[in-house]
Amino acid sequence: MSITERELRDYFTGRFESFNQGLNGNQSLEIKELRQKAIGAFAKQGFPLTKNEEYKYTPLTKALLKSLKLDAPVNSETIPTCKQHLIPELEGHMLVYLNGKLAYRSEDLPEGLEIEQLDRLDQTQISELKNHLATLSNYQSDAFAALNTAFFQSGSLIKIAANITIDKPIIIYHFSDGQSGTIYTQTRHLIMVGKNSRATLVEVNKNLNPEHQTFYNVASEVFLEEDTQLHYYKTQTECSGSIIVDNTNINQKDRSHLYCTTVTTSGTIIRNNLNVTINGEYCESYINGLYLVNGKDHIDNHTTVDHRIANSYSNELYKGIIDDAATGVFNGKIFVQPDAQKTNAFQSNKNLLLSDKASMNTKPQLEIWADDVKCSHGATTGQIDGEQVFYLRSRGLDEQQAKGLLLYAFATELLDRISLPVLKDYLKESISDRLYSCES
Amino acid sequence: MLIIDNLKASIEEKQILKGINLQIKAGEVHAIMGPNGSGKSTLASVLAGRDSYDVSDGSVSFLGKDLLDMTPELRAREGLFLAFQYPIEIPGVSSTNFLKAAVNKIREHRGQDAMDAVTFLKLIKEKMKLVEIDQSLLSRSLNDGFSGGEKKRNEIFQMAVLEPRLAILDETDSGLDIDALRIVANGVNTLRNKDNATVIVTHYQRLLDYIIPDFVHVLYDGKIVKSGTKELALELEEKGYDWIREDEQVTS
Repeated sequence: MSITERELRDYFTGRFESFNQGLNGNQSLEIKELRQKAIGAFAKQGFPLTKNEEYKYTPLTKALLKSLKLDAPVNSETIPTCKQHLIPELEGHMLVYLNGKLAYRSEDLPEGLEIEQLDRLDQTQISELKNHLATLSNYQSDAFAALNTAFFQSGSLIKIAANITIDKPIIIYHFSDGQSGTIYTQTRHLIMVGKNSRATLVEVNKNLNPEHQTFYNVASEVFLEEDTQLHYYKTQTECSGSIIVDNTNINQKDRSHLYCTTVTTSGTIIRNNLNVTINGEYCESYINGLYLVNGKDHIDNHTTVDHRIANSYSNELYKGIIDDAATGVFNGKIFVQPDAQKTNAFQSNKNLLLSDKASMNTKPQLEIWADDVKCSHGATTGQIDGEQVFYLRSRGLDEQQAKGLLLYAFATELLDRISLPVLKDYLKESISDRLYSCES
Repeated sequence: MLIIDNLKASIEEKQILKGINLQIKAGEVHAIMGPNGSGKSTLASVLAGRDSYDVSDGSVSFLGKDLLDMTPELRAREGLFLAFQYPIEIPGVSSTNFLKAAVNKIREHRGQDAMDAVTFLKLIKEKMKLVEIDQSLLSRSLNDGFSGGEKKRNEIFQMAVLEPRLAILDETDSGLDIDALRIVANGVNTLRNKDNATVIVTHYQRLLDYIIPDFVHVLYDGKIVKSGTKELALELEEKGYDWIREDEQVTS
C-alpha cells in the first residue's frame, strides 16, 4: 500500500535525530550543524509534488511513494561480483560504491591526487573544507539536495593539487543491488581541482538487480580553480528499476574549461540537476547530454548555466530519442548577470519521438541582464525524417537498418565529443544494438 | 527490362499520371521530357517506390517481376536506381559506411558474399575517378553541406558503385554548370553497356547533347503524348512545349 508525502517526509525527519546522534562521535560540529540546517530546509519543502514548477513534468515523489517500503530492510547487502559490471578496459583510479557503501578503491594514487572518504574526515580536514563543503549545494531550494545534505553517509573527497595533470580518469561506480524491498542511498562527493590542473572524472550508475527498485540520491559539488580543465562524464546506462536524483553543482573560476557529458539510456525516473556557475572570466563550458529512453522510463535533465562574470563562453547541447511510452524532460536555464558582459551562451535541445505515446517536454529559459552578449537557444522535437529513410532505402538498405543508421547518427554527434576513447566506444556499442532494433 | 502498362498514380487525391505506357530494353537510353508539372518526377518517384504516391491502376514489370509489389529496398536490390532530383542531406551518416552497407545488401540479395574492406576501397577509388569526385567529399557525412553540383556527382558516383540494371536520372542536369554536366554525362556514358538501361528525366535538351538517347518521349499532363528519336528533343528545344500543347489540343 502506498503512503502519503507527509508520511514519507515524517519518516525521514523522524529518523533524523537518532541518525545525527548516532554519528555524533564521528563527525565534526560543522557537519552536524550543516545536517541540522539541511533537515530544516527539507522539512519545510517536503518532497516536491507536480504542482512544484521545477517538478511539474516529473512525478518523482509519486514514484517514491509507490515504490518505497519503509519497513523493508534498508540496505540489504550481497557480495556481488562488482568486477563484471565495470566498464571493460576503462582504466583509472576507481571508487566502487555498492548500495551506498564504499566496496573498493584503487590504491597507489598518483602524486597530486588525494581521495578521502567524506564521512570519515577528522575535525581538521573538515575545517579546511569549510569554504567548500555544501557552499554550492542547492539544498535550500531542492528537497533532494537537502535530504542528501542531511543524511549523506558515504562519498568521496577528491582533491587534485595545483599544476598537475592526472592522466588516468577517476572513475566512480555507483552500484545498487537490492535483494528485497527498495533500497535507498545518499551519497555525496566533493571534487576540487587545483589551479592549472587537469583531470577526467567518470561517474557510472548501474542497478545490478533491476527487479528491485532503488532510490539513488547523489549530490556532488565541483570546484574548478583558475586555469583548470575537467572532463566530466556521467553514465546512466543500466538503470532499469532505478529512481535517481543527481544534484551536481559546479563552480568555475577564471579560464577554467569544463566538458560535461551525461548519457542516460534507462531508468524508472531519473532527474539530473546540473548547475554550472561561471564565476570567472574566459571560462568555457561545454555541457552535453544524450538520453535514449523506452518502455515507461522517464528522464529529466534540468540544467542551469549562470554567467556571473564577463567574457565567458558556454555551449549546451542535449539530444534525446524517446520511444514507446517513455517521457523526456529538458529544462535549460541560462542566466547572464549584469556584470557578465561579452558572454557567449548557446543552448540547443533536439528530440526524436519514435512512437505516438512517447512524450517530450522541453523548456529553454533565458534570463539576460547584461546588454552586450550573444545568446541563442533552440529546441526541436520531431520524428525521423521520412525523406532520409526513403533515400537510404532506395539504395538497398532495409527500413530498420535505414532508421537505425539515422538514429545512430543523431546520437553519436554527442558521443563523438567524448575525449576518452574507451568510454566513447563502450557507449557507442551499448546504444548501437538498441537503435538498430527500434521497431517504429 | 521495364514494361510500364497504363500506369495511373495520384498524390493526395490529385491524379498526376493518367496512363503511362513505356517499354525499355536492355542497352537502351530513353529520355523523358516535358514541361513542369507534367508528371516526370512523379513517374520517377513511383518507379523508385516513394510511398506518398498512390498507384490506382496499371502495372510495371521489371526484369519480369512486379515492380509495384516491391519495397523500395527490394527494387534497389533487384537493380533499380534513382538519381534524386534533390539528393537528401544526412548529417552524421558517413558516405563510405552507407555505401558499403548498400553494396553488401545488394550482394546479399544476389547470393554473393559481403565485400571485404580492401576490395570495397579499391572499388570506391576506381569509381571516384569516373565522376572526378574527391576523397574528402566521401569522408564527410552523406551530402551534408555538399554544393548542388557535388550532390549530383555523388548520385552518379553511387550509381557507378552500385551498378544498377536500370538507372533513372531525375533532373540530374538541373543546377549543374557546364563542367559538372560534362563530368556527369561522361560517367553515365562510361557505365552504359548492353545489359543495362538508362532513363533520363529532364526539362531541357542540354544533357542530351552529351548523353545521346535512343528514344525521346514527351510527357504532357500525365501521359506520353509523343515518342521519337533524339531529333524530337531538338525539335522540342526549338519549338518549345507549346508546340506539343497545341498539337495535343488538335488531336484531342
